[in-house]
Amino acid sequence: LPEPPNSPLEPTEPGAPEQEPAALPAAEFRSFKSAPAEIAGADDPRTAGDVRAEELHAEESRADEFRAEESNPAPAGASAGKKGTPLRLMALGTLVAIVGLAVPGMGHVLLGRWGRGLLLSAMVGALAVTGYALRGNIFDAHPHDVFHLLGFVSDASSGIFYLLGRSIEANGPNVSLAIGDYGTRFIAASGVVNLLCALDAYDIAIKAKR
Amino acid sequence: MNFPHSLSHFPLFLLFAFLAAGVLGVLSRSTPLTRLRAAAWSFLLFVAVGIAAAWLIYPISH
Repeated sequence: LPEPPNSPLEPTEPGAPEQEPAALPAAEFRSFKSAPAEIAGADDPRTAGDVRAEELHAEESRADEFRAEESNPAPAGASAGKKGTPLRLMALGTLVAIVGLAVPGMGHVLLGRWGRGLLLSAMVGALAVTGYALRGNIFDAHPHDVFHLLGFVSDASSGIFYLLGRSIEANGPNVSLAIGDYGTRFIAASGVVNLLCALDAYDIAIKAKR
Repeated sequence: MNFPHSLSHFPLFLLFAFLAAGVLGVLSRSTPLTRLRAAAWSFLLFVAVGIAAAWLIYPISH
């Protein structure tokens, strides 16, 4: 096939003056628009014109988004936090986690999960009350070693049941019997599972979990 | 209060496993049936591991 004259892709002779690329005639431009796009691959039915039109449309969409952000900045409370979670949801999650830690199951109740909240409250309460009834050890807020500190953290995590513990366990702890030691484990377990409940309420509040 | 003191070690162990497994089942699944299955599985694992650990440390006390 003879090469087309004045082709813009044709290499020029060294020293020859540079030629302006000739404008494509309308018929040739139409055939270019309807020609298959080589950059999109042989299987892609889109034409080069379609690909260019899509690129232009994407650029316009990005420009529109940028203009919308410029004219309507997001309120301070709705700015994105870590992993794109809005701060408003994180604040709500923290609130329900704290409430759930103070009163077992109440965090779920605040989120409208009545069944789950009452069930968790009953089971955490049963663990704590059984532990106090068995006269398990209650770790106070004055730790003298790291094990005492861990015991205090786990006991206190049962929230209101920790505060009620002294009144339930009127005669004080008795760990001289093995059954009293069982009570210590029940009390600690109630606090630990209540921590899990509070974390679950947080996850539900930030919509990380159904 | 006489209720928990009337129980021996093994029923107390079962009670602990039941309550802890119930919480884990409720927290880890979202539908009632799957919660029940998860809780039952956790309960069985609690009991199995507890009995296995008891037999493992039995020679130490004898």
